[in-house]
Amino acid sequence: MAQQLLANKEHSSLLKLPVWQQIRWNLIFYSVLLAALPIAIVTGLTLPRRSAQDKAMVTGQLESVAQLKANQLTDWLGASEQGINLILADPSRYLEFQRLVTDPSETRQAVSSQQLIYLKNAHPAYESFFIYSVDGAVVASSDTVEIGKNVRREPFFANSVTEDTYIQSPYYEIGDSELSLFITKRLLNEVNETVGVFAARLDISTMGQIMTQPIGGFPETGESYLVSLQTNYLLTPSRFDSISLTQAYESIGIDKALAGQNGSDLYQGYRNVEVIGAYRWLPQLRAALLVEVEETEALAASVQARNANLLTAALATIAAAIFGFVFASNVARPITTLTKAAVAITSGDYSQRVQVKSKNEVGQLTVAFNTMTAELNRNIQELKTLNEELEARVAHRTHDLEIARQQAEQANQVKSMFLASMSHELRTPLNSIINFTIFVVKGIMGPINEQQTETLNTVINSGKHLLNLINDVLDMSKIESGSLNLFIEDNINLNEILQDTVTTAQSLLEDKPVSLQCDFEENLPLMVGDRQRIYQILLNIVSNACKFTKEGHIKISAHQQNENVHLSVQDTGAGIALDDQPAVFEPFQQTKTGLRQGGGTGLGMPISKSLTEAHNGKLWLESTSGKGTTFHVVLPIKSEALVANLT
Amino acid sequence: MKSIRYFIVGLFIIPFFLTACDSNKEEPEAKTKDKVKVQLAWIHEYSSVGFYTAEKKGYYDRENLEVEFTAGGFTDAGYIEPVDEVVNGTYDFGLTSAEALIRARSEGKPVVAIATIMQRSPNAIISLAEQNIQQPEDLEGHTILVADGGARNLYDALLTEQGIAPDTVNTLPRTSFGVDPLLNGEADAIVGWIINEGVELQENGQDASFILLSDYGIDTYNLIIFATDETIQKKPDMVEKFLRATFDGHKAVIDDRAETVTYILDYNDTLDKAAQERRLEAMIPLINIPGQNLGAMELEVWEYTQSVMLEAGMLETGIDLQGVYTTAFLDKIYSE
Repeated sequence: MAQQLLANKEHSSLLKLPVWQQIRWNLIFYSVLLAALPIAIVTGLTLPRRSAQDKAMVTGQLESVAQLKANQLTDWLGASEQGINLILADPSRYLEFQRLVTDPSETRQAVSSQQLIYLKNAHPAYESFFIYSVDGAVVASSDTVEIGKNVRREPFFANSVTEDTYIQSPYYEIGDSELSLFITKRLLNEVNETVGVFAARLDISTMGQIMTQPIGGFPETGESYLVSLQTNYLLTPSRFDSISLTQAYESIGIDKALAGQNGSDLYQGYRNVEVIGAYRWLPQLRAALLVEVEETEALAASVQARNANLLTAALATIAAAIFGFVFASNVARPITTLTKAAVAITSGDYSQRVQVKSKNEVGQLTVAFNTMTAELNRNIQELKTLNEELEARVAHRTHDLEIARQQAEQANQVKSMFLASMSHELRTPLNSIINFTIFVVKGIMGPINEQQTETLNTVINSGKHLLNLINDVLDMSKIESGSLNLFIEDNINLNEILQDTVTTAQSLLEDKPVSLQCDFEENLPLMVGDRQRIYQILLNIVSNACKFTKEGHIKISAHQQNENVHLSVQDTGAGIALDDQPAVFEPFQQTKTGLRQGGGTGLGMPISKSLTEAHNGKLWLESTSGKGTTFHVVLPIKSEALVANLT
Repeated sequence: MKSIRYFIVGLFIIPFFLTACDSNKEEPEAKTKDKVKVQLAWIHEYSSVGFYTAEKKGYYDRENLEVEFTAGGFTDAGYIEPVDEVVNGTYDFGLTSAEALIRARSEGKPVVAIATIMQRSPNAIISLAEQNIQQPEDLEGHTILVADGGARNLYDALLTEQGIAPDTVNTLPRTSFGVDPLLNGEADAIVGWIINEGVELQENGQDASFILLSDYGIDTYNLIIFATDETIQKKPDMVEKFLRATFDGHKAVIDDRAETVTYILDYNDTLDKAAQERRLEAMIPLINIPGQNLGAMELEVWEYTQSVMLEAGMLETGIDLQGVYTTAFLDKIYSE
């Protein structure tokens, strides 16, 4: 049975394998892995290199653009400065300006301003020309509105009076939304003292043109721009919308260039998008030049290559999965078939055979499996046959035994009936013997002497003893044949029965040093039962106690316990050895003590037990050899079965 | 088989654990903050955006300061004079003009400038372009509105320095805000702030002409941060912290106007964001001068301001300008 259970358990776990333990899915997993891993490794090794190469190519390109623009700007500034040098190289003109700043007059102011207007018209690369006194007053200008102003607090002025040539990084003059780029030359007197400043405001549209030319190869996001060192403002417009010029911008490229470095890198641009950028520090302009392109555009080719790689990998993985599935199915199917057959065999179907399709190891395994199954089947059939024969033999024997048992029972009944009727036949003449002997002893038949009286009393006693024996045998045989009938009465007074018992016990103990103790509950409840039989039960127990107790005491107790009455008789007799105790309630059995004491049929206790049980009660004993015995009787006060049989 | 599988799975999983590691940042201990009260020169608007930004971005918090700003300007009782509010101890710092500070000092009030927000004067003579008022001499024969006080002194100084006889110009007191007098022809020009009335005129769709007073050397500091002698002597650390955080706030404004302009509206939601941003954009060149540190002040400019005041009769005698301002705190901050 236990083995069967175990087999069933294994059987169910065989069918419910988790996916990751199934051969089929394992094989699929590994074939996908085998296909995907090399692609992943190759891609992982080549893609970064590819993108690094692409990045290097882009940065190279951007750096050359940056260099080109830096050169263009330098050339432009150089040419502008050269132009001013040429203007001031005219000695008479220089002298005129020198006089204006050292000894100003309205006439000189007008003449010089006319000169500056002429120069502006002749040199369109300059927006305006100015002559400042050493304290910053505009004393002449090609733009006459400017005359009378003071520039001493403009950012370039402090440097323009100390340096021969100064280029002011483009900046916004207050109230002016246009950038101003000034080149200044100080005006010296004969003893090389600064007496004034010649300044030109450049037309910066050239700078804008240089910087806003599209970056070849990156039409979408390529741009170049300048950032001022002093304010971090854009000096040329961004190609992107809503990028204010007058705001401080920062990025790794801007910061590095403003710190005087040249180079290129991948970083987050001023618009917070990843860009590849080349940066240059332009010392003359004190500005950063940046050429940038968004990473996505710059590395579009790399991204395409990566996508192609990913697509290849995905296709290869799918192909591997399909191949793996077919392959795994081919390998796994015969194994699964074998497993299913084995499972079926486990649950008892030995007719299972597996078809042999392949000639490989699995094929061999299948053949061996089939052979094994056949052998197993044959053995099991043999076992079955043997088993059936054995069962038939057992059934035959059982039938014989049943007949024997019935015969024995019948014989027992016949014996009991025989004993019952014979006892009855014996009792009648015995009663006559006893009664007539009593008549003789009482002198009714005429006077008798003492010797005769004694002899006749012996006859009476022996007759009574014999009658008791016969009564017991009769009771026992009635019990055994099942024909014992109780005469059930209502309202049996147990106290009365106990009193009668005590009286009898007292007479039995007359010559013995045994005290009789009584512990009766007063007013024990009135019972339903056979009065005579209850008295018989008690008398049997008590007279046994009197018989086997030589000294000490006998204690009779009676108490109500719930729906029952508990009666007990305790003596200080020899006690009954544990081995002998069961014999006490067996008919015609007497204990060793009983035998030694002599007398009795050995039927008293079995009858008492049967009578107690007939009252739906219990009788048992507790005894320690040498210390005494206690018999307990528990009788229901009103047993339902007895109430139903009230006579 | 099993160990290989675990190994492979592990290869994929390990990077996630590596990237999941995060450095724990330690929280600074909470200390009771020094309370600082500031009396602004004007209502809550763009001119104080650097202060709001320092507050919003936690720069004051970083310096362990709890700063409270009170709007200035006019009440029913008249103009709130920041100098008086600081001198009487109600506020730790105030904002005012160079002239107001020199006058206060000459009256014996113990106030000292510690930095200026505007390094260049925003004062300008503002007119419609069609009036063709491009230089001071163009003012002759025109009606000009100028508010009494600091602006009038500077205007008078311009006329004097440019040799324009005052009786050739019809100069009248300006009694209202805004540019309506120009639009309705009541006046040909007004003296105002280029970053305020100038922008307003452009907002009304008008081409404007400006004569910037600073272009003619008439340049004074505006929105000067000042405190009492006692404050800078007894709490130099607090002053330094306040200035450091304040100028970090202004730097943040220069770095990102669009973001910081929203802070103005947190203080005054009746303002128009776009209008505030236009004024802020115009103001930044006055604050952020190429080649100059934020807040920097020079003796020359103070001297010039005093000379204009003496000429205008606002001061009877000159005072020691070294006592009016100190660059000690700015020098310390920028030397770090």
